[in-house]
Amino acid sequence: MATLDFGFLSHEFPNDADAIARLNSFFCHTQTDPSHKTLAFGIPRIYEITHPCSQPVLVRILTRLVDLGMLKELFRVASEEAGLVWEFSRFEEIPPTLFDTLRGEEVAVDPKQIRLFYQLNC
Amino acid sequence: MPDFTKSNAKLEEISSYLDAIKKPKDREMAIRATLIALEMGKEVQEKTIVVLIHGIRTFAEWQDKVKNEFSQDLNITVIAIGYDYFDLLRFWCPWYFRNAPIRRVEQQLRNITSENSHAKLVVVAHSFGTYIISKILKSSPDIRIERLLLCGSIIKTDWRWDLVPQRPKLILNDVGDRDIFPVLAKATSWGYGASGTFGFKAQEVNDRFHHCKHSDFFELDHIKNYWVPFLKEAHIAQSDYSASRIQPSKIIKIVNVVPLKSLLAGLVLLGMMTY
Repeated sequence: MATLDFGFLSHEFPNDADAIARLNSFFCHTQTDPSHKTLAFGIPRIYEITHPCSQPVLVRILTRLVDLGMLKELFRVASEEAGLVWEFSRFEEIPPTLFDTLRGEEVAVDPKQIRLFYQLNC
Repeated sequence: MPDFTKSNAKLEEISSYLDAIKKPKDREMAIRATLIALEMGKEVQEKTIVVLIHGIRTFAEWQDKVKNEFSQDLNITVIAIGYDYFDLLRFWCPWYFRNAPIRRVEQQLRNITSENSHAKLVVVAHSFGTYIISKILKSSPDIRIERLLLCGSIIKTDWRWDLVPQRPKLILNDVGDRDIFPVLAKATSWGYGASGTFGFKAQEVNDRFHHCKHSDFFELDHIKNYWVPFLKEAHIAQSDYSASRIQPSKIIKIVNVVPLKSLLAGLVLLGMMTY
């Protein structure tokens, strides 16, 4: 199993080298634990782990890791009322409405229901 | 792009704005930024003041390009500081004349920080402007600079950044390895160095190499691709050229080692003695 190393990003984001190291160590831990390997982590959790200096910087760091194929991105649409979750690998795949099987009707997707998740691309 | 966190925008509305972004990479980044902002809430951003300091023999038209680039950004204010037209003679002379622009820029920076006490100060300095800012950093620790971007730098390559009392958190030196002016400044006068041509190669500074000349940094593409990420987000976009750097030209190498100023001083002295 290859060692996960985000260290090269510290040259691009020197102000956030600590945040990158924290993210690296977190995903290293999930990599070694089989029960965590397939878990996907939401933005609040990633934010809590990394403490980046700003949201735009976190966006850039995640973009680089997704581009390099180190992380996989998931778009989850949650229907809070009915507890359903739909999952998409691209934003463009999310339709304007989704069929809620519990309600038995089409429901409009509210952008605020879309959550970004990240998992190791293994 | 509008601030969707304050509205009840529908998915189609957001998608239509995102679809308008032509570059796929930019669109993907915008999608992430929008979704993260929707989930975490719009971040309260601190105000940033970007101060631009020009070089000699110029009225610095490039400063307007940088201003335009940030004209739509409410969190960033760009301020161009000048010290009038500074000619070559005053630039060359190591005594007296250099002080006036240093004092002028120092006073301006003090005014800016006192009027914007909660803002972060980011400085972009070119050529003689880099010399000015190096002097101010050493002498005025009350002026706190968050980030410093140097280009066409004529600061000495062995400048003791570790002795700067309030060193900026992030220092980026845009190096042009076809730029002969820093080498000429070093060769012909005192107090200057060729860090704009060869880099500092110091732990405290990030040297970023480009295959360009003294004023090529002011091309709009360079400003957009390399300066904006640094000024806005402290992001150092990597230069494509860094990985495939070639050696500086022979002329640059020769001028760098020939002690022109000592020869000149020797000639003057000899002339005086003979007279």
